[in-house]
Parts: sequence; C-alpha cells; structure tokens
Amino acid sequence: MASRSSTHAEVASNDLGWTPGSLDEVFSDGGGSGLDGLARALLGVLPSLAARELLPWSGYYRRSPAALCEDVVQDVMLKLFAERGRVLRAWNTERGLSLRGFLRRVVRYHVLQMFRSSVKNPWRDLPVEGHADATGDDSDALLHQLWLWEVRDLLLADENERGRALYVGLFVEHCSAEELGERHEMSRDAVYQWRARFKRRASRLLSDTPSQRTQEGT
Amino acid sequence: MNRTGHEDQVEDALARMAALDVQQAAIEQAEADGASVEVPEFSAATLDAIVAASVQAAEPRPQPSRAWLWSGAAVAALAAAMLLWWLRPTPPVAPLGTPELVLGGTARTLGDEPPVRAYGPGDSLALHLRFAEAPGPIAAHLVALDAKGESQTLSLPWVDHDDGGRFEGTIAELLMPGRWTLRVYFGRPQACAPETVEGCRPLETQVDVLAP
Repeated sequence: MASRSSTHAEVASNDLGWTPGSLDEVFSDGGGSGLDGLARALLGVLPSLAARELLPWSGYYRRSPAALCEDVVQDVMLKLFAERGRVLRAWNTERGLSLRGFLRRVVRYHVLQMFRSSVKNPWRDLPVEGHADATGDDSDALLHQLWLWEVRDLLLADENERGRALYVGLFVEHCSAEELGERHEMSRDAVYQWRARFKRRASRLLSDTPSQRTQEGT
Repeated sequence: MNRTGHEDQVEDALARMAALDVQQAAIEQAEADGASVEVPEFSAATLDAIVAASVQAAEPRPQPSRAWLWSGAAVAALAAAMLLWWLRPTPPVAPLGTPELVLGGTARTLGDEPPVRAYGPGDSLALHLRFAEAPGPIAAHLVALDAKGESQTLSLPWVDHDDGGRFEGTIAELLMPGRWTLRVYFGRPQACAPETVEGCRPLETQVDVLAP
C-alpha cells in the first residue's frame, strides 16, 4: 500500500517518544516511575484531544466543555491503563496509526459513547422514554471499535479520491444513489455497484476476527 | 451464519466505522462555524490525582476468592449479553434522500416578504418531513432556536407517514412570542439518536409565534 509508508513518516513525530515496545516494558515492570512518566506524557496531549472532540457537542448543547473535559480525560486515562495497559498496548505502529492518532480514537469512542447514552450524557436535561442506552463500554467493546476503525482505514487506503467521496456520501452523509450519481457524474447503477464492491471488501476484512487482532496488539 | 445475517453484520460494521467520520465532520463543521477549541488548564493537584488513579488502575487485580469467582462469572455473562446486544445486527436500509420540510396547520396570518407562518395559542402546527420516495425507518427530533440562537427541544408528537413523517401539536404554549427557527434533525434510527446532532442531518424553517 503506497500510502502507508508516507503515513509512517508523518506519524513519527506524533508518537510522543513512545513505541509499542517501550509501552510493554513500562507495564511489564509493574509500575513505578515509568508508569508515572507515561501518565504525565499522555496528560500532555489528552486535554486538547478531549476538548476538540467535545467541540460540536458543546455547541449543540450550548455548554462550556471545561469541566467535562477533565472528566473525559480522567475516564480515558483509566481505560488506557486498566489491566496493565491492555487498551494502550493495543496500539501498534504497524497498523499505520501514530500514538496521538490512537489516543484520539480512544477519546472519540469515549465521547460518542457518553453522548449516545441517556444515562451518561451529562448535558441531557430531559429523560427520553424508550431510548435504550449503548452500554458496551468495557475494554472489549472499545478494542472491537478500534479494530473496526482499522478496517475502515484499510478499506479507504485502497480507494481513490472518488471512492473516498462515495464512502463519505453513502455512509457518512447518507445520500441517495441518485444524489451521488449526479455529484460524481455516475449512473445510479454504478453507485450501487461501487457500494456492493465496497461491502464485499469489508466483508472479507471483517472475517479477520477482532479477537485475533487484539491478541496481536497486546 | 446465514448469508442475510452476515450481510446485516457487515452493514452494522460499516455504520460503526462511519461514526469516526461523522464525528470528524461535526468537529470540522463546528470549527468552520467559528467555534474554537478551549483547552482547560488542569491544576497540579488534578494532574497528580489522575496520574495516581491511572497507575493504580494498571496494577494487576488481586486473585479473587472462589465465592467471588461465581459472582464474577455472572457479571461476565451479563457483560457478554450486553455486548451482544450492542453489537446486534440491524437490518440494512437504503440511504436517505433529501426531503423537503413543509409547514402546515392552522396558521393565522402570513407575514410580509419573506412570508412566515404565524401560530397563536390554540393554533395547530404540522411540520411535515416529506421525501420523494418512501424513506423507510427514520428518526427525527425538533429543536426551536430564537433570534439569538438559543435552542430548546420541542417535544411534539411525531407521526410516521409513508413519505416520511411529521410533528404535530401547538407551539404557542411552548415558545415565547416572536420569530423562531424550527430545526428538524433526522436520520436513520441507528445513526441519529434523540437529542443529538451526530449522525443526524438538519433541515429548518421559520415561524412566528403570536402572543395571546
């Protein structure tokens, strides 16, 4: 994959001086100053990542994100460090993601889980009857979602500019095939064919189970 | 696993993948709208407390007693059930087209240019989200914004229709007199959760609310 090598060069400065190997060492040593130093290094970037993830939500609810930012950072740190850093050690540079990018995804998952839940959403004033909560917020669910986002990266890495635009149109903006066909000068059938091909590729990649992936990363 | 079940799982996985991009788009839209990231300063005491809690969380847990193992197994089974529920496949649905928002009801007056419908106490409002083709399952919620952009959620009943659906009710009892923007957030039920914007698309119109 041609884009992967440039990605590696680009992410080197975003690894905060850590490698998967050095993370393993710190957690294997059983604590002490290494863990303390790691925690302080992560706290150097997590507040800004959390503040940015909260940006659209604070705009929607018209609330200041300052106090919530602190809670998000603390919750994310606990998730990263729990069970000898199980989640944090799932970061693997061979998957083309910098440590900063990995942390952003963990924070994003946490924020999305929080605002999708009628119980955890701190800015929801009114209870919503009949709204089921998304409760799968343990490490397994988080690692599964991180793996799904890796699959997304792999899928998009092999797409050209139009393919990425079709992905956004279909799965992010939920546009109709007609709209996308007009936008990209394609027939409706061609959009459907692209979608079917993309789903087949997704199906193949998804057959590589998340449990195997998780074990590789720990 | 039968083929249909597998396809459902792929659809569900694709929706979960897209959550990464939906949130990214929301952040970029907020920034484009002029919002800026404010990173709060954490006090030294707060930082120390988070570091201490994190280091403690990293420690391996003590070996549980036999009695705790049974309760632990029950908790694990419950967690697995919850995870399965969360990962449950959702039926595949076609992408949503672009609807139009049509105001109806017993509007009292029409204003000058541009014409704005006005609703007084007792006037019924119907706000129809109308698609060109039957859209299938959709979720929608309604927010009213005043002239300053202050928003409030309107809990009007939603009625499903073949071509979409509509909010029905009276608004003069819920909103102060004046001009309001009614903004409908809509999307697929699995993507557009109540009272959230992430995963939803907005469409809006304006109304005047009359004093008694």
